[in-house]
Order: sequence, then C-alpha cells, then structure tokens
Amino acid sequence: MSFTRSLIKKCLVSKNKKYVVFILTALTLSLPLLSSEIFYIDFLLVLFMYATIAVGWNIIGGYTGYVSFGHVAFFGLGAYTTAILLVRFGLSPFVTCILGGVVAIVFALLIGIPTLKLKGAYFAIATLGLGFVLQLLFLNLGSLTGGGEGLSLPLPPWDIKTSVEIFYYAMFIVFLASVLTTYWLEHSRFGLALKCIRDDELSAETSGIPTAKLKTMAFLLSAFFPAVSGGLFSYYATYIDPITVFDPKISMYAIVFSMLGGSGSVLGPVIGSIILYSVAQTARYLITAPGVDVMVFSAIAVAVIIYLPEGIVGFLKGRSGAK
Amino acid sequence: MSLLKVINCWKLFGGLKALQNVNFEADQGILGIIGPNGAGKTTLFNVITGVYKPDKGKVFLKNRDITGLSPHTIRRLGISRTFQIPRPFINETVFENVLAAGFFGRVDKVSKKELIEETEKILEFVGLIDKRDEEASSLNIHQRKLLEIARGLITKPILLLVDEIASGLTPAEVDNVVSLIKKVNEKGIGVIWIEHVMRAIMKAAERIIVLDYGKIISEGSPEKVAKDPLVIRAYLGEEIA
Ligand SMILES: Nc1ncnc2c1ncn2[C@@H]1O[C@H](COP(=O)(O)OP(=O)(O)OP(=O)(O)O)[C@@H](O)[C@H]1O
Ligand SMILES: [Mg+2]
Repeated sequence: MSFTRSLIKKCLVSKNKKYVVFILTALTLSLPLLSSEIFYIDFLLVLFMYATIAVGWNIIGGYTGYVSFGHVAFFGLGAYTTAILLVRFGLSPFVTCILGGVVAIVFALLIGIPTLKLKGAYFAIATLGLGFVLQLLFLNLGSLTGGGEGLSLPLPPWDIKTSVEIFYYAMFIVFLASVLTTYWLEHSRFGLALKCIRDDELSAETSGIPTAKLKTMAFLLSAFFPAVSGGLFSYYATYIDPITVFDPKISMYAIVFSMLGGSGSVLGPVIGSIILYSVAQTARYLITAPGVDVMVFSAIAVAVIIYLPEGIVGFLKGRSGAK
Repeated sequence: MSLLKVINCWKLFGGLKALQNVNFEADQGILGIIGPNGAGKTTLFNVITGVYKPDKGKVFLKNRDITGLSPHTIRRLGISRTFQIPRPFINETVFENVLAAGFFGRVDKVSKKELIEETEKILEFVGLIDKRDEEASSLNIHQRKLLEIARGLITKPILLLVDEIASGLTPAEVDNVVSLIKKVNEKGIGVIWIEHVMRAIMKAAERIIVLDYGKIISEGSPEKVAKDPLVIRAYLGEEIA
C-alpha cells in the first residue's frame, strides 16, 4: 500500500508529472490506431466529456470555493447553441461549439453577478435551479428548440468508425485545453487570488484582491469548457432534447468526480472522472435496475466527504485530514 | 501632517449604535485605541477599511475622501489592517499569503522577481522566514499574528491598522510584537492600534483614544487617559496601566 502510494505520488506530485502527462497524452492520441473497437473509443470520448465538465466545474467549485450545483446548464446551453446553429443555419459544429462556449459565458455573467454575492450554501442553492430553469425554457421554446421532441441533427458525413475517431480527437482537444487552462491557473496570480478567495474572502478583499471581479471571471471560465463539450456532444449524439442535456445528474457527476479526485487541484477532477466514470459504467452493465449509478454515486459522495475531504490528490500530498 | 481623518462617523446595526459621531485624526505616530468589549473598536476599523460603509460621516486618507470605497481599493490607496482573530489564507504557504497581497494590493509597478525578494525580506523582518514554505494552517497563534503583519506590510502602506495583536500571546511574545510594531512605525508607517493588553499599548502609544458604547469618551497621552475618571468608570475597576 505504502509502496503504491509512494509510486503514485512520484508520478503525480513531483517533477515527473510532466512525463507522466506526456506519456498518457501520447497513448490517448494513438488509441484509435491501436484498437479498432468503437466501444472503447466511444467510452473514452464520453469520459473526456465528463472530465471536461468536471475540470470546468473545478475552476469555480474547487479553486474559488463556490460550489455550483447547476453546471449542467452550461453543458446544455452549449449543446443547444451548436445544434440550433447547425440545424437552422448549417454552420459547422466544430466551429460553433466555441460559440456555444461564448453563449455560456454570457449566461454565466448574467447569473454570476447576482449569485456570486451569496455565500457558501446560498450560492449552491441558487445554482441548483439553473439547469431546471433552462430545461423548462427549452421545452417551451418549441419553434427554435424543437421543444420536448428535441432536435435531430444531420448525420456527420463520415462512416461510423471515422466519425467516432474524429469526435474522439475533438473531445480530447477540448479536454486537454481545459486541463491546460487549469494548469496555467494553478501557476498564475489569478489562480492564487482564487485560492485566497476560497480560503478567506474577506481577507482576500482587504488584501487588495478585487474579489467580485475575479470570482465572476472564474465563473465565466468554468462555464466555457462544459459548453464547448456540450456542443460536440450534440453533433456526436445527432439528437438532443431538454431532458438529456439538462439532466441534473451531469451537474452531480462534475461535483463528485472533482471531489473524489481532489477539487482545487489540476489533476483531481481528471483522476476522479477516470475512476468514477469507469465504476459507473461497470455498475450499469452489472446491475441493470435504473438509478443504480445515482445510488452508487451518492454513497461515494458521502464517503468522500467523510474520509477523503481533500480527495485523492490531497491524500497523496498528505493532506488527508479535515481542517 | 494628519494621515487619516475620521469625521462624524456613525455606524448602526439595527438599533445598536456601534459608532456614534466618532471624530479623530491620526498622524505618523502610534495611536492607541482602547475600550471595553463591544465598544465599537473593530467596527471603526471596518468602517475605515471599507468593509462597512458608515451610515453617516466621512473618512479621509491624506485629504482624499475614501468613504464608501471598496476594501481592495482602500488597501491599494495605502491602508493595511490585521485581524483580531488572524485570518490567513489557510491552505496556502506563508510565502504565498504575503505574495498574494503583494500581487494585488500594490499600486506601484514591481516585477515578480522584485516582489519575491521583498516578500522574503518582510518574512525575515517579522521572523517568519523559517516558515516560508509551510502552510499557514501549521502556524501557531503568535506566528499567525506575525503573518498578519507581514501581509500588511508587503503593500507598502501609509497606515497600518492593528487589531488586538497582543491578546492571547505569552509575555515574551507580547514583547516581540510590541517591538515589531515600533519598528514598523520607525519605518515611517503610521499605526493605529487597538489593544486590550494595557501593558503593551500604554508603553508603545504616543496618544490614546478611548471608545465606550461607540463614543470617544477620552483622548490624550497614556498617562492622562489612565487617570481619567470616565475611563476608569468605563472599565469598572479593570486595571489600567
Ligand atoms: N456585523 C455586525 N452585525 C451586528 N452587530 C455587530 C456587527 N459587528 C459588530 N456588531 C456589534 O457592534 C458592537 C461593537 O462591536 P465591535 O466588534 O466593534 O467591538 P470591539 O470594540 O471590537 O469589541 P472587542 O474588544 O470584543 O473586540 C458589538 O455590540 C457587536 O456585537
Ligand atoms: Mg474587536
């Protein structure tokens, strides 16, 4: 146990991290060449998607300490922006997924200005409704969104294998961009300011940190990546409806993935996503009763809060105890 | 020259008058503020630093009206403070605690390299350089109070507001912080110092203001204030000096 721990520790927290990340990236990029099984590629693609949402969530929830329960709102908004622009205007999703990110940023700005004034639990409750509100809105804007019947997107012009590979790489790029952004954050003044806000907002403000402005910027950044991944998802899935893309489960995944891996760290949400998404998928194959994954998740969430408050990364860095 | 002017300041919390028509000036020396628990001392600091807006009245820093500005702006204009109960950035290192304030609380343009050097100098000055890379959570109360001062100094303030730095410390630690604050003042930084530990404040301050129920009830040299019957009554037999 202690050997494994020190080995993982060597990989994660020392200078070797760079090489580990490099090797993993190389492996990921070459996977479609190594395996012809669409199943595995699809599995990883969706994993990247959830990981991207978790990494995005981590910027506001982990680094800044404002736990959002509504991040699915940004994902869904991105999905719909891209879908609508394709269906109604024929614009390429690989470009418009970025626009979806911009729409999410604008939405986050409108939502963030009032809600980020709220502290802790109140912010969490305020964001809880976001996904539901948008779900209702999109259900009822029939002419634009297709309402409850959803939107069918044109099929991508490639054979299935090529198509899965293209989306795999696209999703990986978005995922990588989100991780690199967090890496930059971890080493920037901006990131340090966010951590100070998380630790003690009053102290941060009186130390000269413009807390209102930086919190809002963090929220916008954290909305962007989930929305972009949502845009790619809509084209990949070729069909979306409000129930699927505003599913509150997606918000919950982001929170639990991040917390298990270690929120407020670069790799925490990534590690959490890899472990928990694999567990969830396996559970779904083994036990077919509906809702099993949600139960497994809730149990894991409770266990993490009690036993691993700093997540796996925190545990490996020797910060296992509650403070 | 007077650095800070507080003019006719009122602060109400519901029906509670935390500050009632407070007027005073502070210059480059050490100004002590004493008064019983709940007298409004910390509230006064919160009003000066922009944490609370006064319900009435004005605050001037070097003749500039700073009433109602945000705390981070007031910090950048040159007022630093320490908290009665230290409020470090608990998960960051001692170095990062000070550096963060340096990054954001300064108006002068310094390179990152210079700032790092200055941060180290200040940690040296307050005696925390050995703890440079430790998380603030590992510090004891004395060290946390030193960190508050270090974080205050990195922005090169005109004025340092110190809130009960000596409380909860051993006599040796009290002597340490008293001499530290005197050294800060000798650098030309004005100090306003709230203190319950009379032994500390009576020795260090040139002038003392006594607050009671949000009002200034006495003002003057430590000797004068200590003999004032109003002050003695406010403390109801608590020993002064
Ligand atoms: N945010 C607030 N809301 C309501 N009442 C407050 C608030 N802050 C302070 N008070 C009240 O205002 C009064 C003055 O409080 P303050 O903290 O300024 O006292 P103090 O002189 O610093 O006391 P101490 O010596 O105990 O630190 C107290 O009665 C306190 O309960
Ligand atoms: Mg007080």
